[in-house]
Amino acid sequence: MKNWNLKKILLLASILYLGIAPFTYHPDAKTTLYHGSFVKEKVFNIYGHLARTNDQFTRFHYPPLAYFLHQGEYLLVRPLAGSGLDLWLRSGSEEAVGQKGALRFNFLSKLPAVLALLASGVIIFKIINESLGKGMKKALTATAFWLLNPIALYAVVVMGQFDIFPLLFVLLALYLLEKKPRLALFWAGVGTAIKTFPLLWLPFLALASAQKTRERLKNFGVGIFPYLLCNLLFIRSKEFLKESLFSGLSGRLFAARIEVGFGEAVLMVPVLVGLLFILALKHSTRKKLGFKALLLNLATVSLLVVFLSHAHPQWFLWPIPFLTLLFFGQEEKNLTLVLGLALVFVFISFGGNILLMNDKFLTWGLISSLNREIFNLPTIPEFLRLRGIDFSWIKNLFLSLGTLAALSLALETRGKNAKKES
Amino acid sequence: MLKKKVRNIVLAWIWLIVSLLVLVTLANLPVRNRTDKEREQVNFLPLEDPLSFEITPKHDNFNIVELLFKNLNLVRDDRFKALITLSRKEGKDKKIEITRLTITGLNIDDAGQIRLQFPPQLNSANQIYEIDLEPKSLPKDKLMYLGFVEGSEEPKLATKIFYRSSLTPASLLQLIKERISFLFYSDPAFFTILFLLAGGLAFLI
Repeated sequence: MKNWNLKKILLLASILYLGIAPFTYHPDAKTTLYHGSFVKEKVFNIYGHLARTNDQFTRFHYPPLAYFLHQGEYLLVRPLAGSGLDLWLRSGSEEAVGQKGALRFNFLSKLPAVLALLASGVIIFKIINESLGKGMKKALTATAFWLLNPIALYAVVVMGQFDIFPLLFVLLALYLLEKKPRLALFWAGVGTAIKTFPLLWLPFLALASAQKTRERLKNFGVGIFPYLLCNLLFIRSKEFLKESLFSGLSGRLFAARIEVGFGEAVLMVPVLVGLLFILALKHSTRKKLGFKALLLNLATVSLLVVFLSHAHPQWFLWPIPFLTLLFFGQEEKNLTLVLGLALVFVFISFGGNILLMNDKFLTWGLISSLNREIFNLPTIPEFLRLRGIDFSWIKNLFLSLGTLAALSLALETRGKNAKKES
Repeated sequence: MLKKKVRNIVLAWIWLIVSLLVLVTLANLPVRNRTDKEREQVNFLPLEDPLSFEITPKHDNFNIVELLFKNLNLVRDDRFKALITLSRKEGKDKKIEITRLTITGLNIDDAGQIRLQFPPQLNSANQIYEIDLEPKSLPKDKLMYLGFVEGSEEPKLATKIFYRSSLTPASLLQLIKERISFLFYSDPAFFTILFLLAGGLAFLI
């Protein structure tokens, strides 16, 4: 690592991405850019527009700022794409593969997300090097790990998922937290307004942003402001309420439950996240929540959500930046062991889940741009089912492995919350 | 210094080529049932009466035929049944049955494929095969629909035919060569820019 520097790592990662991104395809990247293309028609309320025009594609399920972000992506990509982009965006998931210029459009549809991934690498470097003061060598290793970890490669470079944007803003918030806590919470709020999952992290960020309750509440208010503002703009739209605010995706948080009889149940994710928050609050009444304790809480909350709901593949990306920062940003041997195991469990669980999801676009379909006939192969679950093999227990085992990682980190938060950080 | 930069550029290009080769190989290796036909634009018409259609495979080793059905609003009703029979025509009146499949309303999506798979037909090229459909339909408001090629003068069944290929190292190599040259010639400007970009980034290292 003697001659290595941040520029070198970013350039190497970019070259690596250039060998993967154009040749792998997932329709989600195309669909998000398709939604962004409504900027040409100056559509403001995408939810109402798609419902009124009975659009051929899925409705738009994300918060309003995600739509404005996709508009920006489209404006960036359109001049680079040349002719045929709109036709490609309008074509179906499978039809898009064989179209003229498909490789180019596919690469460009992922370009904004890939650039965001590289930018997030810079912030990881700065947090380890400057905020945690762990030095250049550790910061470079952490950045390389983050940029090349299998989940980031899969979710961002291969699939082109835009979850990286909220993560980028939350990482920026972590970087700013010590120096400019209010601005930090604002950027975390911008992330929340793009995709709702960082909403669960905001209370913890508020605890780490100030010592006094009043300051914490103010900072939390600043954090929630971008989310509330963007949603309030559309609150009178029935379609927005149905497709985004109260969509089935938000309901996933309440999927894991313990039945208590008479059709009633205790919801696991709110209980466990609430418990983590109470413990963090208890240990930070007279001081700010420490940075490492914050990272541990954020990682644990993310893992709980991912493994206690029916997670999409890109959700597995959420805990990784926090686990990376913790793994490379502290030296306690016991915690390093737990974090290392958690990372290994998450990677194994992720791989197993992907292979056992009944969606051709998550496995063979990803290289369909190089041979459309690969669509004719059955998915692994189809293949196993046709042979009468029950694989549900293997899938459950993978989920349990991830939950084990979440709970072992949850136990670690107790000690970390209470400990005074240097 | 310049030597090092040139080495970096060459390595970046090698990476792009290796990545493309590996991915193209992976995309071609497991596909044993190949088709020579893209899916046509399809019109769905209600399936009420028995129907017969002829199909003519272009190659030998014909082993799969897919039909398109539509179960509007996903009426999950197994009172709907249809018998699909595939036969090979030998002369004017003689038919040799190859396979038959009974489907129900529970097997059909909105819209979805129904696949008839059978041992590869060795000399299938230019032979005539017949598909017979015998539906037992539900009430008028719960009909199942069958896919027809849009725009054809006479009703033409929308089918997709597959052939079992034998994959030898030589045929795989040929396939990869054809695929890569097809990809390159379909967008040479993009590949040029991709290599220039990778080279430029490598130069900056």
